[in-house]
Amino acid sequence: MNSLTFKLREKARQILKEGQAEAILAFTEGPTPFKPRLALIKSPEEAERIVWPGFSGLNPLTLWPKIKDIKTAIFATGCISRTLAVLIKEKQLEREEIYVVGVPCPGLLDPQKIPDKPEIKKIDEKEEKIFFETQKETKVFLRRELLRETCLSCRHPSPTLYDEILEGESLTPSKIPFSRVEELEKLSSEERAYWFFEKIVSPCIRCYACRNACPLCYCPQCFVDDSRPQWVGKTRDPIDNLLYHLVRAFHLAGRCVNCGSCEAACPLGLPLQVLNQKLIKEAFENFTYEAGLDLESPLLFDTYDEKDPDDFIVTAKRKTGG
Amino acid sequence: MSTFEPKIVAFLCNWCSYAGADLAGVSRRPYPPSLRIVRVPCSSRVTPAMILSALKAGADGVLVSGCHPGDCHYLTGNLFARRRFFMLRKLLEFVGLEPERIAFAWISASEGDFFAEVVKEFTDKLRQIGPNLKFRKVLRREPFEFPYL
Repeated sequence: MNSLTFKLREKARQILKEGQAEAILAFTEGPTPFKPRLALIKSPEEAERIVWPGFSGLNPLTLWPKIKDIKTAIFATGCISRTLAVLIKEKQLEREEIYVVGVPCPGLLDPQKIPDKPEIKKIDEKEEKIFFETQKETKVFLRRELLRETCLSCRHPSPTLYDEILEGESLTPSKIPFSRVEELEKLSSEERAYWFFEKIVSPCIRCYACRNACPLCYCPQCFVDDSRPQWVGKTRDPIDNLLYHLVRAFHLAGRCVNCGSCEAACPLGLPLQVLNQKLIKEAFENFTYEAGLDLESPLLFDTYDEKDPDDFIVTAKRKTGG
Repeated sequence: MSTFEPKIVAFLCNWCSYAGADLAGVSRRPYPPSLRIVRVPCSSRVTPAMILSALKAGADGVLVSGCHPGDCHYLTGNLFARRRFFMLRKLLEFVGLEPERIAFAWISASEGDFFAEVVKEFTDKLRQIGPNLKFRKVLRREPFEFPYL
């Protein structure tokens, strides 16, 4: 069993006994080791069900709008605490409504990176090593071999916003946070268009799992559900897919915290996070902006600067050179 | 190439650019009849979904135009819009989707001549690039094949 699981259970019992919160939103054991289930834990006895979600990339804050009138605690890794900061800035919840237990994140794992997945019966995580028990043998993998792409590009694995923090070591911040984006930027425009159509637009079945898994896509009516005007058609025509993916990525510009829920939720394993990472990169390079690091600074699109880049805009002044 | 006449959807801000287009007409400046104007309250009213669905519906180019920075009727609308358009352009460039088809301009109500000039140049540029095939929605048989390489 993972040592983090013990720490989480112990902390959960303590919080429920001492009354810092009435309930805890945490992952519990699911039908398979790869699919932990989110649950609202309300008594110290129930805390035994809590597990560390090694293979679940989903962000528990997606369920936040469904929790009402109960003081809830949450275990927050780096990305979850940043999500919280964005949600608080957007007035979706009050800081006092939630009790945050910071967890130094060792990085989440990607089930797609494991060979022979269906045979696996039990998974054990011990520090840097992951053990898989199949019927015949036990296989050992190193944690960094199985880390998700988004965790490999994580710049802030430690929580930035918390009431208390658990002890432990977190992932080292990535030195190549935008490697996937930069690789594509080297290609020509035609090759990038090919990549976009081949890898995202064409295979996408538009199940909207990426939207539903995103904790920051909380609009009561999404633009894809509008029928007047109907922005996105009903079939999976590539142009509709293209419009959906571009607008989805754009709606998260300056908000996306790189938690990777969309990519983890995608049934086809499409690299959706790359589009968001491109916007994160542009926001960081041009506006020195990163989402969710504090509660004071305004969101990227909630503010402006006189000196914002504007060389792409045509004006009479610039044309005459005066 | 000579028969291709581009269609442009222009989102013009009510207070500056729409009046600029009006002035171009009143002062009888000729400019290509490629423009279809949509009047919007402010350039920051224009969303990426509006721009992309104009292209989806078959426009060859989209022109978004508003007041000069500092002249906005709502004081700062165009400054917010500028950030958004910057990010949108970067995103479109990244996925290789002809960012030249989308033009942004600051045109004041007194720049009728300049408005005609912008439209003329944008139309010429679109004539060179050719018709919009990547964005346009046409009914296709599945499976979809990438036709642009």
